Amino acid sequence: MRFKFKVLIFQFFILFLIILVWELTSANVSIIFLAPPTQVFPLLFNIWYYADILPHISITGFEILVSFGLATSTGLSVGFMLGTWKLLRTTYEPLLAALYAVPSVVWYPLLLLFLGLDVASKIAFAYILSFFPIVLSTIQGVSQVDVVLVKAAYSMGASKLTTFYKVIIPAALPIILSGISTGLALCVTGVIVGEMLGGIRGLGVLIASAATRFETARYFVLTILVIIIAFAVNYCGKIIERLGGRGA
Amino acid sequence: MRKIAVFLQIGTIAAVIVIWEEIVVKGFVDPLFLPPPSQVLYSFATLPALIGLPFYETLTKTLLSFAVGSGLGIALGILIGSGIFLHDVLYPYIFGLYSIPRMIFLPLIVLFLGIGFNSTLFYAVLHTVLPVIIIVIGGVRAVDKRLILYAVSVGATLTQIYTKVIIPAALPSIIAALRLGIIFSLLGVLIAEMYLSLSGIGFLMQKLSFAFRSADLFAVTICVAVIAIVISVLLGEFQKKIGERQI
Amino acid sequence: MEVMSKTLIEVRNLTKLYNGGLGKPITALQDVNFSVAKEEFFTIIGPSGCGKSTLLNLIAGLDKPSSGEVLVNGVKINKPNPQLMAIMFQEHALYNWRTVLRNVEFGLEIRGVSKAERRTKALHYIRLVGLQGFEDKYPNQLSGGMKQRAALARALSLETDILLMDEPFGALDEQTRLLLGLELTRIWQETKKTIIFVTHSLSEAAFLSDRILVMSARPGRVKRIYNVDIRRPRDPNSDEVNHIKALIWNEIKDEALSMMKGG
Repeated sequence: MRFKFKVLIFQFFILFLIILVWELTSANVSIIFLAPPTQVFPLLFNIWYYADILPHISITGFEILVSFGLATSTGLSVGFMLGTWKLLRTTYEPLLAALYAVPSVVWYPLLLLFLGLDVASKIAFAYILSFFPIVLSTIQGVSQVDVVLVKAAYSMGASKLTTFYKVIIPAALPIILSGISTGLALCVTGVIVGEMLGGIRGLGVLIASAATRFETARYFVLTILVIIIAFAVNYCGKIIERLGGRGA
Repeated sequence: MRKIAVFLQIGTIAAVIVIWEEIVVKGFVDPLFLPPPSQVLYSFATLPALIGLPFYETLTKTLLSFAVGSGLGIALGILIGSGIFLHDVLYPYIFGLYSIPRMIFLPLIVLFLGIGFNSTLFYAVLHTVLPVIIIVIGGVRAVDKRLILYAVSVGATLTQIYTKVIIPAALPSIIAALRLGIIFSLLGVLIAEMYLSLSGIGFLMQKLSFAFRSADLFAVTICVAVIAIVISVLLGEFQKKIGERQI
Repeated sequence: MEVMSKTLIEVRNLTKLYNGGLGKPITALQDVNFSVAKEEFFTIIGPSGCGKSTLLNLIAGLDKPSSGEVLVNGVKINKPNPQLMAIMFQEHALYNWRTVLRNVEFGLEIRGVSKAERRTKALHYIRLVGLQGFEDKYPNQLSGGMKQRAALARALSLETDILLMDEPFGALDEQTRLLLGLELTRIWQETKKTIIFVTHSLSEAAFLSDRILVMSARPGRVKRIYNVDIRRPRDPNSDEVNHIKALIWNEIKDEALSMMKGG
């Protein structure tokens, strides 16, 4: 208990130190480089400041939700198919793993070319980022289910389909859910990176334009917003992972 | 089974190319967006001239940021991973920083370091160091406590415990971190290049995309992807070799 | 018998408390007293979680007692003394990136022994435990029993008077365990070491020991110390050994039960 308390105190101290350094640095450089926290935090809690930001938040949120939905549905179906069908798995798992090793942003210029600057290219980019961890962990989860569990189900007279629903999916669930959670976090990254690299709407676009116009207070407000969104989404990911909890 | 799989793999890739060629030739899509494979192949011929200098720039920045980022990451990972208090205090910060889109800090870096080599390098180092730290911390913390206890029981000094027990025991995860680190460095450099629009492969790709030079863009994309895959596979083999006697 | 009775290790009023999370300390050991004579094979047995390993770590100087002390030759132990004691852990704790030879050399390397000398010594003890031919193998290439032989060679190579063994054969099957026990007896007699041996196996305790300390469930206390006056070489299935086993079992049964109920 005392140890945890000490840890907490040091953590707050670090946070305090960061804000202090930020404030002191901004006092010594021009406002166009660094807005001080004393200017940023009031804006952060000023509801009216969000009037023109809110539509962009909803666009970014929309992109995250759509790409995550697509990645989860296709990732799970492809993953289950490859996981249960051994020939398909030995064929396509190496190809998927190889593509996963490519730095994702490599695909983005092509997506911009195909889909234009608006939301579609962001959704597609986030989808690519998110699809791989979901499909690969589903394949891994399904193909690594202990053979004994499956044998036991057959021995009790379960059909192939029943075994799949009642044994394979529950047994593979923790790995699959952790893949989904990773995928969810990557959707946020994909959407923000996509927007910042060129777009029309969304938080990333606002961040990039605030920075290029040297509106640093606005830049910080938007950055903190993105951090909050990312943490909130990661928290959702943790909840998803816990759905497969085994009382641990 | 494996033979059939390899056959199917080649077949799949061939089928993708054939279908791709067919839909463009039959006029289903505009070749302005999707050039036929034959035209992409033709672009490969002019590729060396196109990517020569940018390739060299990107490679330099990637290797530099990889060296700095992974060196720093391994050192910090070992330090933080082996200290209980240090770990408990810092880990939430490190993981927090890792789990948000790091790109939002790129404009800030640019404000301070200007548009150019320095900011690209700084961003790529930041991009590399975080995953490396996290993997190394995981590896160090997973070291069997009895291995350390035994070294203490025979009178090992703190330095000896690090050099003779903790580091060799965590070596597989250090190598895994290096493997991931090089890809993250490349990713960081490419993102920064695309954002800064100044130099390198990332900028080139962005430029080709906005200029609708789709065949060239395809050629560059395929080239970079293949390089990344080759690096990853080679390091993966190396990792397996090291891992063989361990586990 | 006079030589045998000379006290080497003395454990006095040893108590160990642990932080139990919510500020409530857990008593792992309470007021433990006993002494071990020179060249004695002394076994500590008790239900799992009774603090046997804690006790051994305290004797080894790897952990500090909350109160009480451990004396070796009348000198207080407060840190590991590799000149005096070698320790062997449960499930071997070998370094899997080193070959058998280099694992056995490890302690000597730390001690600063020259390369040639530590090689000679390591090879000697590898032969003594019957692992010749496996010097250049990595731990992962060995069976469970062979790993334990390697760990034994590693502990012996330090050539200390005292050998502390924490359930060294605990992860092995019954036959391998017996076989290694036999070899350990032979090596013990050859090298004239003092051994403190922690185990949860009744057969092992009865088969190997000069004396057996039975510990109570948490907090760990000395419940009783048995003398095993069976001449060696012993037969693991003899009535005498079985008699000792039965005695200890009766002593330990209630403790184990109370441990299971208490979680």
